Amino acid sequence: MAHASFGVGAWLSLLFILGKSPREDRLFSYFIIWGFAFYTVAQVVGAVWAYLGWSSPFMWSDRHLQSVVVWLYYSCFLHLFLLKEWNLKKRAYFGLSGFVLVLFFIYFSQISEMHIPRLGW
Amino acid sequence: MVIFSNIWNFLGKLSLAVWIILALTIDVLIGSIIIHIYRPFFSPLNQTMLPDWIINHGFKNFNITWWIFVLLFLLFLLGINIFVCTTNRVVTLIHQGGSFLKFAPHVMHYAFIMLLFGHLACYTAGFMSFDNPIKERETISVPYSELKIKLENLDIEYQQERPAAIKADHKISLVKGGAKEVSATLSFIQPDQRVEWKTIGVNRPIWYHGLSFHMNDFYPKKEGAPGEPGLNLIIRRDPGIKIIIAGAVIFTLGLLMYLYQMVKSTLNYAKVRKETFLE
Repeated sequence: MAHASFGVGAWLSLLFILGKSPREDRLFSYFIIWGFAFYTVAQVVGAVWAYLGWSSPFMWSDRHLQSVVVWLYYSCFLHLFLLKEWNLKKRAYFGLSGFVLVLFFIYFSQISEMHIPRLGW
Repeated sequence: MVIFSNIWNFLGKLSLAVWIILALTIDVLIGSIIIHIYRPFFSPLNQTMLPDWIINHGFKNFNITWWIFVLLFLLFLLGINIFVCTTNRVVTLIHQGGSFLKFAPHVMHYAFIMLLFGHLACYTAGFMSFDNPIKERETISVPYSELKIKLENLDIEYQQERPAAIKADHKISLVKGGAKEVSATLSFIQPDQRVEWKTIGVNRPIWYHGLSFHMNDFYPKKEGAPGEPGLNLIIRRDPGIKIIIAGAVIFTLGLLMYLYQMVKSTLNYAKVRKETFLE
């Protein structure tokens, strides 16, 4: 549900950027806020599950950190309206980019199995 | 006093909050990639306390652990920034009066600080003992405690027949003879020889005298497989977990307050849009 809300939010952001919705329309923001709410609930439920099974509400793994990235990114989005320089259009771009991140993480495990050469860290 | 006031104002800047969150997002993103590449190196991080890990692994491999130090610093800065911003705003709102719902974001902010504190306590106070094998009828000592535990009996229910619905889906590895349900009875032996019995299961830990016992593994995995029946337990004393639970509950309440307020304003907005459209 969170991913779906972020997706709809991104689509509405795109319509806003393309000028196909009213100039003052902030409907994309509402969908992204709902997405953030669903995502938060999923994080809390996941933390309870992790605690019961592994004794810790957070595990240091790539998948858990990816969830943190998505949560932080959208929490950043929620605070952008407080800054004057971040007008609706810039926020629409931010909302649209967020879904690119979400899609990247959804398909990350498949992408990483494609034997991309290791970076030299 | 002027210096203090300047520092307070700087730390309470809203733009600072946004930049810290953005920096955190980038830092954790880099961290997730590094952890993905160096998975075995980072796995002890889930099995030891953070200060021990930092001393034994963190400082020695700074080229791949630097992002954890950056993360800790940014979280510390964010905690202070949220506290200052929220306190400034709450003081103003209290003077303005009005509905309690307007405090919703600030309830979430204070709950977030609680969550940060909880995690700090979780990783620095108490102890974590990750590898505690115990065979059936065996008694072991609980680390950092005078308590002893005995695995009285282990009851593993194995899959007898592959359900029809699962047969069709080859991706699910629920095979005949695989474990279906695991539960075990542990007896807790006090130094004065008083004994209490409790049941443990997968995702069903035992809480006992400030300690928690989690079933991390069980044996044998398959019916009739060789080896003695037994468990591997995670034993923890975690003073942070209660703060984390309280923080998560308060955060969720704040979120519900915020959503309620938002739905109300959305309905008003839709009404105004409809009226404008009709005009």
